[in-house]
Amino acid sequence: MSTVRLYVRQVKISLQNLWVYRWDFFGDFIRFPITIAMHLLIFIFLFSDTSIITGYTRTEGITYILIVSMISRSLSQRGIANMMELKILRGELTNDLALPVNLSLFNFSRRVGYPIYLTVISIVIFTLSALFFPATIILASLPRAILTVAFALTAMLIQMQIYYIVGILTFWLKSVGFITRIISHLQELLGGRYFPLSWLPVWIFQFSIFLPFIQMYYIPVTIYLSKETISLWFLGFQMLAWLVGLQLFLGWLEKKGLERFDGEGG
Amino acid sequence: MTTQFHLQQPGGIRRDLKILVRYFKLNLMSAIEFKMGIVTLFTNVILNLFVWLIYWSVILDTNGGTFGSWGPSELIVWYFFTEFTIGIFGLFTGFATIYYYVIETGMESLLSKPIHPLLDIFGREMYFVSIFRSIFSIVILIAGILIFNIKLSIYDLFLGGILSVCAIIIFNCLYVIFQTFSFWIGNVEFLVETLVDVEMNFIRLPQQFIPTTILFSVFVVIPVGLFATIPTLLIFNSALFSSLTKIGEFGFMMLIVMFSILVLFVTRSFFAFGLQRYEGVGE
Repeated sequence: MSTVRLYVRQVKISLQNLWVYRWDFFGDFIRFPITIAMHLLIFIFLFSDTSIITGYTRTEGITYILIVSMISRSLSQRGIANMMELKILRGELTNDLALPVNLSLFNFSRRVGYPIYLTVISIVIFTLSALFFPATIILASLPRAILTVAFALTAMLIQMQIYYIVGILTFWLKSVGFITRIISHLQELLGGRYFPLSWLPVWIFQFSIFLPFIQMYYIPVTIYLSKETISLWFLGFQMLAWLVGLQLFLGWLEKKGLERFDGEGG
Repeated sequence: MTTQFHLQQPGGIRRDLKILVRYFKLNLMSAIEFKMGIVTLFTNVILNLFVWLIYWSVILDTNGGTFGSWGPSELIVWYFFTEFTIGIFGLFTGFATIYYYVIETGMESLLSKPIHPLLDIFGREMYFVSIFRSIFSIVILIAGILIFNIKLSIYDLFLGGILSVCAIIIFNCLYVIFQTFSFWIGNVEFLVETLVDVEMNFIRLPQQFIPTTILFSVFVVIPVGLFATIPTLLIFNSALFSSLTKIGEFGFMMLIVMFSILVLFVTRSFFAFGLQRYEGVGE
């Protein structure tokens, strides 16, 4: 079997798993609104007395929090750190190492199916919301919408890389749970999970520009709302630079870590 | 060969307590042994507080210093109740895993012990270090009282605390009820995750800005407000509270206490009923 087919097979398995637990599959239609409800209600409340907050109109603000909540729910990859931690501690990495594949890409491909499915649900729910509440939610042009999805999916890959790096730190540390939590909190605060970064104190906003977390939520949504202050080409280049840079660092760290790995064998 | 199980009559309260104290000691020793768990919890709690402070300072800034009539004092007390309750709730994490025991035929190991299976699950799966989260929330409350000069009486905190404890009982009962369905339908992960989503998404954000009439209607169905929002309302806005509930704050507390006890008994009976359908493996 060629290497590419091995990756594709992993993606297929992750999609098939959705059908194995069908209740989970349908349950997402219920869980999705629950996840976004409170943040959305807070934004609706904040805009009840004012029509503009720090450059965001009511519709822009509500659209912002709706998309960000959906991205956050659909494309979360925190679980990779835990998965790698367990594999290393239990010596299960041996199974992956026996295959002629790139270790990180192989593990990423296992986690693609569910986010793809959730992204489809997000798009359906968002489009329906925009059609039923046109005065509250902005429906962007198709090219902008496609670009937003492309940026969000690329951001998911960056998220995968970051949590994979955290996971393989298990080669040196006994547990990486606390690092995962630190990264997760930083991602939510400095990525714009709670509100547009321009609402935050200037020093936090400026600090966030130098970190990859800004790519997670803020950049895709500002593209959707046509509120980006620099060219799309530059934003695309910046995202690719993070992607390549993190992959190189990850490869180096993985190589160093594997030198310390005690696998299982007989 | 399969064997049908029926719920054993639980042992005396003294015997149950003895076993639970043993579990408690074991969990304490594990927590001391596995220091990384404590580091993880503290990192989480400190970062939570940091993000919370930034989040609410931005919200208050953008909204003229208040949020639905709540200022910093109310938010600090609300934060205390939220974190205190989450800390205590952590002790009961086992109740979110009951269905594993059912679908993976692991109930036998529980049924062979001289203690009620639910108490056994509670004891063995207890996330002990979570209690430090509650302790930390008390420290933050004291700091908040000193900084913002919050006027709180012991009676207020007692009433609020009782409501939070009732919320913990009701929600844990919901976990058990949802998972008892696994005796009929197998994997109920979907139901458990939905409940976790409701709990986690609503508990971390105050609901007092929702119109009060809707708020109380919602809380009848999903009592998530009992965790922190209603105790805070009860402390800072008891007049509004009394006019809405008509029975006064003490009466309301007693009503919730009785409701929790009723839910507890219904849950226990329902679990026993479900257990009659359990088919374990034997030789």
